[in-house]
Amino acid sequence: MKNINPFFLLILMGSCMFSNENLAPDQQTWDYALPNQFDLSDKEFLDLNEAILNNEFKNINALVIIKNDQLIFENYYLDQQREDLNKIDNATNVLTSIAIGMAIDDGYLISIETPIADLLPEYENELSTDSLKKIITIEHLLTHRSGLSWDEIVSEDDIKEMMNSDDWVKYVLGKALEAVPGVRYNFNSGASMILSKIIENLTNESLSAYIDRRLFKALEIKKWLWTTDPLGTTNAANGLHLTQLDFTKIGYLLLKNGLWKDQVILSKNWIYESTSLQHQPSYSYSMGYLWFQFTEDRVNSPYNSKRAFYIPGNTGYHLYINPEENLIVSIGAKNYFYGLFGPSYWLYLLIMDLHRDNL
Amino acid sequence: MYKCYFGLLLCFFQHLIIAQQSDSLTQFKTNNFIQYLEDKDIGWTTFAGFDMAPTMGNFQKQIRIDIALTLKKLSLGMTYLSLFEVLEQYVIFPNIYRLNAKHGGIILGISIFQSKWINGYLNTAYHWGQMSWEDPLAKEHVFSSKSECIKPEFEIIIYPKFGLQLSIKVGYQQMIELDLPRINSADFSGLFYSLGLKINLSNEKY
Repeated sequence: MKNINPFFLLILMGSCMFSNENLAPDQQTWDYALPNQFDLSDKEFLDLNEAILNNEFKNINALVIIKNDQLIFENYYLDQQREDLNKIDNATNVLTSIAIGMAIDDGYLISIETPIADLLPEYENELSTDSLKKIITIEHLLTHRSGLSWDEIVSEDDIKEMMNSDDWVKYVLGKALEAVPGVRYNFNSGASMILSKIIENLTNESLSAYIDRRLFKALEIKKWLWTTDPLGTTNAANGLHLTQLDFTKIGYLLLKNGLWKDQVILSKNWIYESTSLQHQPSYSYSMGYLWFQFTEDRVNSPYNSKRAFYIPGNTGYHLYINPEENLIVSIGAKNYFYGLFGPSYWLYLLIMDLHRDNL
Repeated sequence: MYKCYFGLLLCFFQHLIIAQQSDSLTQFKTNNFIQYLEDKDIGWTTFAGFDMAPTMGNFQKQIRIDIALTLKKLSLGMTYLSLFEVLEQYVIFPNIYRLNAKHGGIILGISIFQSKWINGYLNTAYHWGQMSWEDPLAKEHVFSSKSECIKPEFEIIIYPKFGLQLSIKVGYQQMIELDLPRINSADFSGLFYSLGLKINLSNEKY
């Protein structure tokens, strides 16, 4: 036995050496769970996954579902990866709604009934073209009822022309009034550019810097991209790029009434007010402050949780927050032909079907 | 730090190899060295086998290799474990990931009884390493965590007079510091048993 060469043992041991590299731990905002832990059917969600893979819902590239504070579904499609940044299109608008709430919390702004003319002295000329423009308030912008002429849903001409101009805020404010402010609904992403400029004037920092300081840092959102207009005003119309999980975090903050890891980021009162019904412009949806809600319409009634609200991005980046079910559905898609209520909307409705079937 | 322990032990064994493989000019020195080890009751043992360890409610097979220096009734060495069986489950639903576990560490032992056919030992291992959820398709670690384990055990060696012996171990393992989604330390703590072969060199009398 003495002469047994231990070399073979060393080779064996050498082959067993391993590297204890510390991979960066995944940013774990939520614990992971399976649908069946919440009386949902795993199989039905696997079928749903298969349907998305088969492109039955057009061009969906991400789906994240948070149920009872746990992540029960996260998957990416069409070469999308978890860490990829995506332009969330006009879902960017709700960041201005959040920023206005924070500006009130921080004491920069007293009321959303403040006329925007008081806050935008540099656009005196544009606001003087019609005396009624001076009565446009922040609230009117938040509810898409500024009265400014705007075509975004049918032709997208205005959004395109705005983005080709040098000063986007000037372009929006320069539009003629076609209704008395506060009366008529007209979907207008450009109005968020005005809100972006207002935040800039109130806080002396751009909307993106303000949101980064007050929101993104608190939510540990480190990877983001936010474009600006040629003058450097943050593009609140459609310029924010986020990962799907970080997009979901914004919804989670609102679901938790503005509380994030025992820190108040946004006041509960503002969240309640901004996500509550302010007016109902359509049979199928009502509006808060840039947030949408389901109505009691016959088609939508099964999904009409009293407090549910959502933001439908034009290309399919949708975020649904349903406080009653403690549910968030965050969808990413790249659809350019369906408008606000395309495949992402249908996908949410199906998820609610699965949800209710199993209750 | 554990790499230092491994390094020191490997250096020692490397020294043995060099000594054993030396040519005739140094054979005398080698013989003297082996004789010196024998005179000092220093030997070494190796164990290769499988642990059947608690893993998420079941016993799962782990490859286990121990190599230790012995001094009279005591032994000190290193141990290595790696999950052998493929264990996959939903982690981030609907994605299935594979559990990967590799640990290395030190093992201390003492001989507590000897008879003609059976020897008994009490060992305690402390090992640390990495556990991870791996994407089976991309072969990438999606989540990874350091983990540590304390493992007292009772070992019986059958047929101790031969260099190649049968080893049976029973013990308890307590996992600590595991931070991975969908699993926790308790999933890997509990009674275990182990079966393998042991080579006992140079101090068979212990």
